[in-house]
Amino acid sequence: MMPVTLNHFLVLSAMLFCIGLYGALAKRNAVAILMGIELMFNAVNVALVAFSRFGPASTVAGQSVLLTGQAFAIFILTVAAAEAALGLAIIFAIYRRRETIDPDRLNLLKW
Amino acid sequence: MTELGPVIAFWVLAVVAVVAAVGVVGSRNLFHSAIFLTVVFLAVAGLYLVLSSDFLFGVQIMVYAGAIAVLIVFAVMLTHNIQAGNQEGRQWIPALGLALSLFVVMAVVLAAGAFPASSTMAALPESNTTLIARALFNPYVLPFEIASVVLLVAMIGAIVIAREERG
Repeated sequence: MMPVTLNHFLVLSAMLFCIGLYGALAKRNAVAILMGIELMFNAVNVALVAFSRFGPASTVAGQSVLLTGQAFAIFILTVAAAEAALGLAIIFAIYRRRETIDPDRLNLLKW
Repeated sequence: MTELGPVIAFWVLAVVAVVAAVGVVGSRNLFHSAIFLTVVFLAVAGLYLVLSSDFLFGVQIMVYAGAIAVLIVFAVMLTHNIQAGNQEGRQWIPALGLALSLFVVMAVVLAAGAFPASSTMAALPESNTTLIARALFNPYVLPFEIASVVLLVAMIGAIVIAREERG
């Protein structure tokens, strides 16, 4: 059986990222756009954790960099959680005021 | 990774993740999209387990499949037009072209051997949660503290923005 290599994880991550990118760009509903962004966050996290798992176990400045990717993934997760909470709050506020969350119709700032 | 178990787990979880991700963007019903998104989160959590990152597995289940999924389902419920609310806008063809071309570029770069295709994993201790804690509190203590401030600001900001305005 073919062993799973780093490239398998990277291709999977690229697929998830591109699907999320399509969702974020093409959808006409702000909640669906947020879903696409969450997909992209997850794809990046998979790539980071795979890099940290398959990378060489080297040391930089006396510190082991074995788990750097996992630490970065935790920070990305934190930012993603903050982004989801704030984004949904903004969507909710816009919906209450304008009765729509279609980004094409939210053009108040467009001159 | 040459043992049979992780290889099978990887393929199953990868297929589930990609199919569910296609479901997220392809489903007409916004609620179905939210359910598919939760499936993606769970599959990614399983992939963390395949990569033997057990701490991230737990965090992914709690934060993504727990908190963010519930938040998104709430947002879907609070806004109207769930049934056919997940439609593409006018620019879906350029978006599809952009996503596909980005994937082709990444695949070509990977096929050209941008990274050594090592199938050997670095030797990790049985549980690496302790190591993550050491990494977070020793070299990354400043980003860690900033992340907690970011979470506090996001919490207050979300309350202020979504609050009912009176008067």
